[in-house]
Amino acid sequence: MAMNRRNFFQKAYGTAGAALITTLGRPEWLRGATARKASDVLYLGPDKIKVTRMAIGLGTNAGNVQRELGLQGVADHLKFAFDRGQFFWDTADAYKTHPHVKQALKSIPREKVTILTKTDVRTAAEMKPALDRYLQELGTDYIDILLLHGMHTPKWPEEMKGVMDVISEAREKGIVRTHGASIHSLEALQTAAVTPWCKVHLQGINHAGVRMDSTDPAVVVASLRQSKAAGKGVLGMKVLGEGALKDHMDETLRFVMGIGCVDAFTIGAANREELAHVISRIEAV
Amino acid sequence: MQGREFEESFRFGGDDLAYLSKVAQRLAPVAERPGLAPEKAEAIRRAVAALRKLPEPTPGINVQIEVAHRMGGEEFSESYTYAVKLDERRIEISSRGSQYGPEVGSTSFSLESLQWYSNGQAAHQGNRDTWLERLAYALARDHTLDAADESGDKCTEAV
Repeated sequence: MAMNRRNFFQKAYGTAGAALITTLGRPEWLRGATARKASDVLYLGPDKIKVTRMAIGLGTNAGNVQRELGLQGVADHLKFAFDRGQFFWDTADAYKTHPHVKQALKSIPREKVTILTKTDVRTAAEMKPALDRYLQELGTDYIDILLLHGMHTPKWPEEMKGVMDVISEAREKGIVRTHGASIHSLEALQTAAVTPWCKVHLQGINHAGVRMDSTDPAVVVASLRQSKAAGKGVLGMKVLGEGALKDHMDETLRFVMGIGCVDAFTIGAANREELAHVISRIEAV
Repeated sequence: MQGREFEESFRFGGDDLAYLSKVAQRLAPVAERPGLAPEKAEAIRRAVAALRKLPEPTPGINVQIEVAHRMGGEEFSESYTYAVKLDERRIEISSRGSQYGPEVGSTSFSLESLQWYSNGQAAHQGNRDTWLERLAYALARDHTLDAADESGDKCTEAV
């Protein structure tokens, strides 16, 4: 039987994925012959922050998985990644992995890495001291990407205005290079897509709708496309569905790199072996 | 309003009750663990029953459960505590932690804090789902468990 386009996608992504891909158009990865690498260098969002296609996640199970490695263990993990071209690190105040980043910066020059962190602060008064604390904990005098952590209401820009103003001021001073939000609901994502302040956003995305803001990936992808069209930097998380899609790694990587609206994505590996495996699969799919 | 009794009650919004039900679901198996002291098991069962009964209040309830998890070694140590406190005036789900290392010094911090008060007020800080993830992680590893039940006589919730 000749394999038509729909059959091909069905084989590659399953029925839901096939429907989604055919709805959204031909994936970018099929258009060009360029191989993707985890270490591909990209410039994210309107502030053109230099990142790698894959960020080294330090927040699996709220950072517990990485912190199990210990202070030096995480630093060694980041060095291992850095030596393989992975200079984009994804942490958060809530993950409690700032000290681990600081430890890593003892052996890696600060200017050679891109640090993304997230804040759970909800008032302007708390933001300034929190920012000072982040800089001290991270061992740096600037943060490349600062995101509001876990936005879930559609009115988050109104609710967070005071915090956003403090972060904007920090950007003007060069303490923060760009800003945005990590998103935890579809409504918040749709708001992010039309909020100019949000220059970068991070949200769950995978082919199966696992641990995402909607179980229908097409709905999320439509919003991401809107963001991309507006020039925002779009980052993906939960690409492996917090581990639930580990056995479907190729499918989910192919999907996320193929939809054409996710610039880069974060994956939190528990150890070097896992990290090396993910890097190799990104090149292989 | 003099002479009229004003009945206070907890107010739950959005998915609060669904969330508290998840907390109960996560705690319930802990009470059945072999080797757990009977008084701790009883305290956990009472908390689980009270959480499942919400929004109906449990008169006289006064239960505290704490799960503590340690990580690291001499170079860098961490400890985290996940707490559930229920009494007639407050429901509290919280977590806190500390990190210590000779080079980074000592820091203590609050992580998630979700509180509902019987006067209808509520205060939430941090990501509530992350609290569940953290608790599950701690329960799956070496941890210490404290549970105390100081509920009054009028607390008739079956345990």
